[in-house]
Amino acid sequence: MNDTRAAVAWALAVLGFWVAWFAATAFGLPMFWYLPLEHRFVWAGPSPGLAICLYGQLLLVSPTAAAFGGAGWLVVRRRELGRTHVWLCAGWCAVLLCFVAGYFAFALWGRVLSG
Amino acid sequence: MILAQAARPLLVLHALAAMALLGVTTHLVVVKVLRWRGRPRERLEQTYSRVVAPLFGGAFALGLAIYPHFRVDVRSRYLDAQQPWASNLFDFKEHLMALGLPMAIGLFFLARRGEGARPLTDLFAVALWAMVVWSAVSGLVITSVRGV
Repeated sequence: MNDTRAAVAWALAVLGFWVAWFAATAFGLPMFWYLPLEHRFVWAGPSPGLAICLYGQLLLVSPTAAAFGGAGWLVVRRRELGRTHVWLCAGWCAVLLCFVAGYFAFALWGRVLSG
Repeated sequence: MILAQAARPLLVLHALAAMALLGVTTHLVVVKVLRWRGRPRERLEQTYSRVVAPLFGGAFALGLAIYPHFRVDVRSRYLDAQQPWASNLFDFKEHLMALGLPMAIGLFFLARRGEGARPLTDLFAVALWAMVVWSAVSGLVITSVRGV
């Protein structure tokens, strides 16, 4: 695998990770939630009370990122790619990262908790 | 879930890993800036890029291990009711570091790639550095409000 193909495939995996992370939170996708008081996992959409989404969310987005990266690799493996393509991917990564981080900042800023 | 007694030593290890990560990402960005100014340090750049992922993974894993205890005994019992801004800051930090995870792994695997991969690795390095700085400061602030 040459440098540009590896970079493009990896960029697609990262984009997949961020898209899935954003979608899981923004759209309340069902995933495993850890209930720390009961020491068990439950499959649920929105938060089922005192629960932790982090583990289930990682479990959800990691295969998505692998699928994006794998699909990206299949697409680019026989193509001639130049540095421009890597710049383009880096640009899209920067845009999506700003968008997703901005979304979380916006959603969490001043969030009222039930306590 | 970890025992409550283990939470404090794990938090110290988490902080140490975060400090080391802050140092490595800062050095990596400095080496990148030197290259942009025409003074490349190939080996140093590769070494720092490779070290970021294990440190990031270690700090992240320690954070994951402490989190259930923090969620129940600190956040739920105190922060959510008394200092909700700290809970929100913590959640933002947590999401931000999760977003950094694929970039840290990417730096590891793309470290030995040449010029072709540079735009992406440069972005990863700078973005990770910014995230780590933000998270380190946030972590200090949150712990100063209430630690485990």
